[in-house]
Amino acid sequence: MKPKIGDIFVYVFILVLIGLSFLGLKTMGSNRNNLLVQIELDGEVIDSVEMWQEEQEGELKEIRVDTGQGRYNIVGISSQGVSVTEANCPDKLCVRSPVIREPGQSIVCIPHKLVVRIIGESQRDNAVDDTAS
Amino acid sequence: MERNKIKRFFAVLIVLILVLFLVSGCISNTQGQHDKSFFAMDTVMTFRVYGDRSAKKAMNKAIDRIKEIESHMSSTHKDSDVVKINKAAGVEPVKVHDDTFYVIKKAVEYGKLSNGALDITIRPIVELWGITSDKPRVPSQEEIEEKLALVDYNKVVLDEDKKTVFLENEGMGIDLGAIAKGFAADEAVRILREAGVESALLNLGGNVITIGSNPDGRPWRIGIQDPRTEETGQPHFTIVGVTDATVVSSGDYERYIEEVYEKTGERYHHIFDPRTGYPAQAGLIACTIITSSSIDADALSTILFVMGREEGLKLIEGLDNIEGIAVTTDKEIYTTEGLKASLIPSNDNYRIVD
Amino acid sequence: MTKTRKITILAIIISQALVLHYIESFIPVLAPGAKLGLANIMTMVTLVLFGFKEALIVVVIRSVLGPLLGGSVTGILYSLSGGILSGFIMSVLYLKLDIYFSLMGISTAGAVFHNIGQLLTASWIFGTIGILYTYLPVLMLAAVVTGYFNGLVTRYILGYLEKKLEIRN
Repeated sequence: MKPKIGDIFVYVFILVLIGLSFLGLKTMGSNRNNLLVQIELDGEVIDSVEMWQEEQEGELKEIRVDTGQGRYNIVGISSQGVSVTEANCPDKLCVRSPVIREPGQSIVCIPHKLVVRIIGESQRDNAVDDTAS
Repeated sequence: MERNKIKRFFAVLIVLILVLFLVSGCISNTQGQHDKSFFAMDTVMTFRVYGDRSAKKAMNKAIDRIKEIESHMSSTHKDSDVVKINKAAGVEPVKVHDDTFYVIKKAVEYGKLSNGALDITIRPIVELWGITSDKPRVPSQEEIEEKLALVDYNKVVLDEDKKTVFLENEGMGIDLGAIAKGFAADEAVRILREAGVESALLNLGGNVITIGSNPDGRPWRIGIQDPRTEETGQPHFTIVGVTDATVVSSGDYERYIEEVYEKTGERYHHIFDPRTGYPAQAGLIACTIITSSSIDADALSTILFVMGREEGLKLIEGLDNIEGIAVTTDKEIYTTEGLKASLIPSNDNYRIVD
Repeated sequence: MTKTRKITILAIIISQALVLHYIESFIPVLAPGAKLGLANIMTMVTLVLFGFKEALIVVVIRSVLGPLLGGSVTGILYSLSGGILSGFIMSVLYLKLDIYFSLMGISTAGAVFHNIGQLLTASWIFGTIGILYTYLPVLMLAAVVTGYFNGLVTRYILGYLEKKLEIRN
């Protein structure tokens, strides 16, 4: 019983589907173990970068976020955590906010409608779902 | 003839599928996670709701409801009830939405309960200091006394039948900031529950509201902000496990005049004592209320902070199913009886006092 | 073939599909959703003996009644979406492209699309696409095995039925 040409096509199709779903899993899975810094503007996620790695000690990655009409915030990511290093908002609360480094923590700039949030599974025992402030 | 049959067959098929989709939409309780964050009531709000598509729909409905409440109770929306009431102070009663009436009535009740520690007519004082504005300043004693004369919750005249609100004196003003967020949270929770949501985590500008427990069955673990995080380097001073509860904190760490603090070490923060016209100084740096109703939690956390630990915790102890935590300037933690056995500091800069 | 005879045979096929569906619920599964899909044999038999319309009738009735025998109303939704999608695919392959496909190939394609239909419905209900990625690989591998097996069974059944019933027109 030799498989016909179409049968082989079916099997190739299956292989492609399996490959694609592994690709999909991988992009999802990489977010799962590592922490992500998510930048939201007015509720929309506009950028999402991986949190610092141990070997990147001392390095500082700065992301400039233009929030429209000449307004901006600069988000700094280092091995110490994430902070807003500079902004031209009127209250500068985001710049004064303490450094965040745990999932569930966030820095908010209300005048610019900007939220910088750390997401992912915490490695620590005393991880929290949220913080009341 | 044959063609008609096929047509009819497909029509029946489509109707059948649609009906089944509708039915399954109602009964399936499969769990998906729906996240949304948005800006409302001058703060950022984050929703995480677990459930099927109907849960997602309910989430959007709850968000719309919050925006509706905001449009009634904002101090800046020019058509809001609050703006109208303030404009008509000393002139005439203003007809308001049922929402606004309920919230103001509740606020006045809390004013009475706390003997004026919470007073929604604090607005003239808030505007004088401008702590949350671009140009905060420390006013003179004369200025404060002048404005303090306008602060009196007893001069808020409510007409239950006509649903009108009247401020007796010109220059008076109300600010629902301390309590409207709590009402919005209660409404959001009501909408989500009515849609059958059994697990959700909401954060309304630092007020954390939980429905049910974490989908994995554990209680929600809620950290309570360390009020001196810049000193201790710690995000929270304790962690509480809650189900179906709201956790609301107040403190001097949220907004204060930075320039003055850097020079003198004095924190002129945003929670005023309506009896003095100065930022509350009752020996607390932070306090937290845990209970089921958010409007109560919102009001009581302000009251506790203004009253201080002894008087404040005593008041809360006298209410049913409400727990309170007070953190003093010495970083000592006092709690109501119900929390005494279970509360553990999550960093050793703080210690529990029995 | 008379109309009565056709209705009778279709009724027997549907009841056999239901019996297979019921028996299958006693066979343990490797992964959730990865079932043998024995009822698909009857769909294919109908497709070969009668054609597209009849095969679809068998699929729809079996998909609605099957979960009612042992399952939930949501089960109907899953089996309908999977069944209809795979029924369409198998019909196209068998009626239009049968020179390229063996019954085993058609049966495998049917199994694949049955699973895809169910997963799409599941991700629609759950409101998340993640389920697709997680379940697809396992279900696809299962489809290869069950599809081949069901195709083989269908071939033997058809050989027998065509001789006995002489119903092929």
